[in-house]
Formats: sequence, C-alpha cells, structure tokens
Amino acid sequence: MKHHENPDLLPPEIVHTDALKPGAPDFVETPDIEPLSQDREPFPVWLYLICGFALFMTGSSFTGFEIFGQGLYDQGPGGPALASGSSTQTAEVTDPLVLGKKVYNNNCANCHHADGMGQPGTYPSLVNSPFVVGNKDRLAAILLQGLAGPLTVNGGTYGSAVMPAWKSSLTPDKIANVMTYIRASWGNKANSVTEDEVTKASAKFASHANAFTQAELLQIAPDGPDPSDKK
Amino acid sequence: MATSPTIATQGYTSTDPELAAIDASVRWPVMACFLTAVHWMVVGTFFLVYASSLAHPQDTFPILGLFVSLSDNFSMFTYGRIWPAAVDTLVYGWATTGGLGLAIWILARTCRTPVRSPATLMTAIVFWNLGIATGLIGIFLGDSNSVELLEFPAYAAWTLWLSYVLFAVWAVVTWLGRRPGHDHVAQSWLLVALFSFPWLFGGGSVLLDGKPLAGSGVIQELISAWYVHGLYTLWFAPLGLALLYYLIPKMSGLPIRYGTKTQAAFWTWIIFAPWTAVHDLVGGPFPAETVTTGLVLSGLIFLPVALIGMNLVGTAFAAEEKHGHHGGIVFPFLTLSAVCFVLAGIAEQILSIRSANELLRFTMFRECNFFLWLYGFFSFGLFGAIYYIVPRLLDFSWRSSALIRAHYYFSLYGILLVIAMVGFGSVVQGETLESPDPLVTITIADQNALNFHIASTVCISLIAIGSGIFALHLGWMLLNCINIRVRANRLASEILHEPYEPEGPAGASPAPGTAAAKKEVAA
Repeated sequence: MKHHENPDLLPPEIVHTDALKPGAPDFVETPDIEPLSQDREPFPVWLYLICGFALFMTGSSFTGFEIFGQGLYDQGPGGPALASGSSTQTAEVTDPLVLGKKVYNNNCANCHHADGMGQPGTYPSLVNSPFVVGNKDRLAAILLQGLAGPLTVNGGTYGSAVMPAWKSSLTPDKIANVMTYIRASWGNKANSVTEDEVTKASAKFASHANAFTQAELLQIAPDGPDPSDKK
Repeated sequence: MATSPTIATQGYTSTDPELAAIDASVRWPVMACFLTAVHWMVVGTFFLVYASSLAHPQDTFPILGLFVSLSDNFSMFTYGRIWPAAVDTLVYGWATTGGLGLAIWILARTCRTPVRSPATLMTAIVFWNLGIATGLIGIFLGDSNSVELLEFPAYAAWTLWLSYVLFAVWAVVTWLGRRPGHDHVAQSWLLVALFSFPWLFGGGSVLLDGKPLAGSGVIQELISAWYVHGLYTLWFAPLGLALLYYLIPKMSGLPIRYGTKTQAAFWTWIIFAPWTAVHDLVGGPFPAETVTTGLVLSGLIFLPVALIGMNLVGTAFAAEEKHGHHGGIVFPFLTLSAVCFVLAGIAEQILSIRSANELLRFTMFRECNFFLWLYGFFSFGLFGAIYYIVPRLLDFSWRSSALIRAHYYFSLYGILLVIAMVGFGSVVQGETLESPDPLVTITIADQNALNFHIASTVCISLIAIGSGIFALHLGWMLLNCINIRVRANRLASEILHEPYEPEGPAGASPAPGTAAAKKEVAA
C-alpha cells in the first residue's frame, strides 16, 4: 500500500463529505477538441424578428433632423435646427425658467447636479452662492469665458475647479435663461437676466482670452446684490 | 511550496498531463491575482453598500446611521469619496486584477506554453496592487480627480499603467511563442482586451488628467465618455467573453453552437460596441451629426449581441438540458454570466434610441448598466472561472458544494432584483425629471424613486452576502490546503529519516512507521 492511499495518513479535513469530488461534472475537463461547432444550423425565426425591430428602432435616431451641419448642436427637442415636428411642440414655451431648466439639465447638471448642490471639494454649490445671486455681469463672465480655480465659495474651497467657457456652444438667450433659472431656484431669490444684458456682457468680456480667476472676478464687482436687483 | 512528495495528486489537477504542467507553472501568478482580487472585492463591496446607504434617509436601516454620522463628521467618509473609492476598487482591484489572472491562465493554456518567467509576472502583480492601494489612499485624502473611473491620482495611475505594461509584455511573448495549430477563439478576444487596456487607460489619464486639452470642458466630456465605455466594451467584455468561449465548451463538453458565426460576432462587436460612448453625449454641446451617427452605429450592437448570445447562451442552455440544471454547481455561474451579457447588450440598445436615452440619462439606469456589466456579466463569469481554476492550481477541493450553491442563489436573485428595481426606478425618476414644471427638481424625482433606491440597496446587500460567502469559502479552502500540505511535508520528512527495517513484509513495512510518525506529529 502506498503512503497516500493509507486513510490513516490523511488528516480528517480532507475527507469532507460535502466537498466537490474530482469526478463532479464541473471538474470534467473536455480535451481541447474543436471548440466551435461547424454545423450550418439556421437561426430561429424570432431572432430575425427581434433584429428587424432593433434595426428599425436604431434607424429612428435619424428622424427629427432636416439638415446636419457643423453649427448644429445636439440640444434635443427645442434645439435650434430640429425638425418642425419637435420645435412646434415647445414653441409656445416662453417662460425663461422652463427654458433655463432645460439648458441647465442638459449642460450644467452633470457637475453642479440638478439640485444645484455641486460636489463638495470639486464643483461649487450654486445655492446661495454670492457669484450666482450677486452681480449679473460677474455671473455672465463666468458662464461666457469660464472659470479657473482655486476658488472659495461660502467657506468651501475648490482647488482644481474648472468651469468651461460656454459662449461658443450656448446662444446668449440660452445663457440668459439659465442664469435666470439658477438665480431663482433652490431658494435663490435674485432677479431675472435678459438676453440683452448677456449680449452686452459678452461684448465687454470678449477681449478676455482665458478663463477668469477669482481675483479677476472680484475686480468686476464686489459681492452683494446686482444694482438692478431692487429686493 | 512544491507539490508534496507523499500526496502526489488528489485528482483535482487537469487530466491532460501537458495542461497540468502548464497549470503548475502559472500557479503562483494566477493565485496571487485571484487572492488579491477577492480581497479588493470584499473591500469594494463594503464601500459600495456604504455609499449606497448614504443615498437614502438614515432611518431606513438603523445600523446605517453609523455610516451617516461618520459621513457627517469626517470628510474622508463622505459620499464624494466613498463612491469613487467603491467603484474604482471594484473596477480595478477586483475585476481587472481577477481578469489579469484569468488572462494568464487562458493564454498559457490555449497557447500551450508554460510560463517562462513567473518572476516578471509576480513583480507586475505586486506593483499593480500597490498602485491600487496608493490610489485608494489618495482618494480618501482628497487627492482624487473628478473624472469618472479615473479618480486615482496621477502617481497611482502611472504605477498601474507601468505594471500593466510589464504584464502585457509577458502576454505578447507568450502569444507569439504559441504552439502552431493551437489557435482558439478565446485568444482573439484576449488580445483585443490586452491591447485596448493600456491604450484606454494611458490615453484617458493623459488627456483627462495629465495634459488636458486646453480651454474646453466639452472635449473632456467626450474623452471621458470614450474612456468609460471603452473600458466596458473593449476591456471587460472581451475578457469575459474569452472566459466564456473557453470555459463553456470545456465544462459542458459541447462545442459552441453556431460556431461559424464567431468571427462575424467578433468584428461587429469591435466595430460597433465602442460607439456606445455616445449614449452619454445626447443633448450635450456636440454636433448633432456626431451624436446621431454614434447613436445609429451603437444601435447596431444588436448584431454582435445576438450572435454572441446565440453562441454562448445557446450552448449553455443546451448544456443545462444535457446535464440537468444541477448537473453542475459551477456551470450555472457561466450561464448567468452569458445571459447577463445579453441583458447588458439590450440595455445599451435601449439607450441608443434617442427618446429612451433622453428619458433615462440622468437616472438610476446608468447604475443598472454598471451592475449588469460589472456584476451580472463579468463578476459572475469570474466567480465561475475561479471555482473551476483554483482546484486545478492547488490540487485541492472546494470545501462545500452547499456554500457554492448558496453563493449562486444570492447572486442570482440579487442581480435580477437590482435590474428590476433600478430599471423601474429609473423610469419613474426619468418621467418626473421630464416634467415641464420648473418647481420639479431632481430632489423630487429622487424622492419619487426613493423606494426603488432602498430596494436596490437591499439587493446589493444580497450580492454582497453571496460574495462574502465566496471569500470565506476561499479562505477556508486555503487554510485547509496549507495545513494539510505542511503536515504532509513533516510526515514525509519523518518517514525519510526513519531507519530502514529489511525484516518486515515488503508492502506493509511503511505503514506502522507512518502511523507512529502521525502520532508524533499530533503530539
């Protein structure tokens, strides 16, 4: 009798009734046969039906556009050059809060989150931020030209915060709408912003090539409500 | 620890002596990958449950109040750090490390070449794990980048990249030295994964963190989407598919059904799947033609998903029919993984429809997608593979079939319920968000979906329990294995040093001696 066949030699743990056995189906090792079946089996009919449906739904993404061009951004229904079908749907909506919320959700909510709270240490909260409810020119400067950290807002510091410039991707009316929206949401109570004000600010800051820093912003105007804000 | 001289084999090594030799040569690197991966899985799952519990009011589960109070008092334990720590630990620590172990094993076996320099591999694995640990510390100290899945600070990211390159050099050398005539469909999937990862990870780290393209947050959004979806479609998916294409025929004894279509499936996947990146860009400041073309191309992933589904799910179901559902205890993990691959493909297909995407893009649906890819598809495949591979490497059995089955059922019901809860929850959330009323904010939408959030935390906990069972089972098995090997070695040395007694009967002479030796060992 060889050593390893003597049950006396085996410690008790190895004889475990519930342990997987060498002969269990899971431990079968099929030799490296040709792993691919070469049968020319036809696909079932339902697979063709499902694929046809998927192809149809995929193609539906093309609908809604009359023309494509470099200047046409993908802004969803209500965007600049979407087909008439979707633009008539939203044509009646003129409330800047509704339009501004749409712009916000599409462009800003990724970082500042839809509740405006941002992310501690990375993206400043917009709620009760002096930059949001304060001077309009200063807020417009941030949106138009962007902002480079470090930044201190309401005692929170944001070391590497980077806000992209939006002047080339959002039209002045959209910027005005989204400014109005963030100044009047989540408990903020500042007055609204017109397209005209944004256009003027855009001309004023056009010569500023880079993103603004906090020091430069404080030079535009100190903290405190906008002069036009009577409350 | 070499195979002990007294216990030659317990019958768990491969029946093919050549494969058994290859398994022996990869034992240390692969076991190192699997053990560290399981360790990161335990850590990551804990963080995930923690982060998930912060997403709803603390009075839901009293015990979670502890987490909330920690989070309120220490910035280190806030959601903003716990969530990236959880996701990165699971993605890089668990799935990627485990995937590397899997890649070593499958590549060495299908190429029929034993590992030439296990020391290179071990170095790579050690530095890889150091990189992950450093990255986690960096995240908790507030050093993280605000880029999805690239939160590890630069010093950790480059450690990971360099140790990966060391690993990849080994992999390419192995593949180039493969024995002629041993091509396997799994190899092509593995190579795609092995070449994609450094390209994605290096490119993402440079363009998003190291040297961001100046002046435009818009391009960064695009690159981030490319990276995240690239990681799913060109790293995890090919690795998991290599595993399934190799193990399903191996374990079931059936060749892959519709085997003539595997090449078409491979190329359509490579071409169409990475376009799913566009799903994150719909409605953003990108040219409409880019987004629309991307949506249509990504929608075409139904072709590879259908073909791969017919290949893998078809074969797996045929095998379950042949052997019965409980014919295997480990095989159901592979079936589940293949089914989840198809479900993840369907979820991507849904997101490639513009109106569905607009409804779902800021909802829990992305979380659902993450679970399907990382847990449903990749992890369950990896669990099955570890159950199959480890006994072959250690020549030692899993301790209990009941534990494996418990793990399977916790995983199965956990993932199915997560998909159902998060799927319905995201529709509720999306419908609320789409409301034109300006007073309806994401907070209200979140509250409407709150019950789904709570339910999904419970389901995640089910998966976590299953994973815990698995980790404990692996630990039990290792302790037993080491214990027995050590005792066997001592026994062997005592037998060797025993005086030779020529008088006794030839066959029986060792037995009394060894029994005495055993008593000495016990005493």
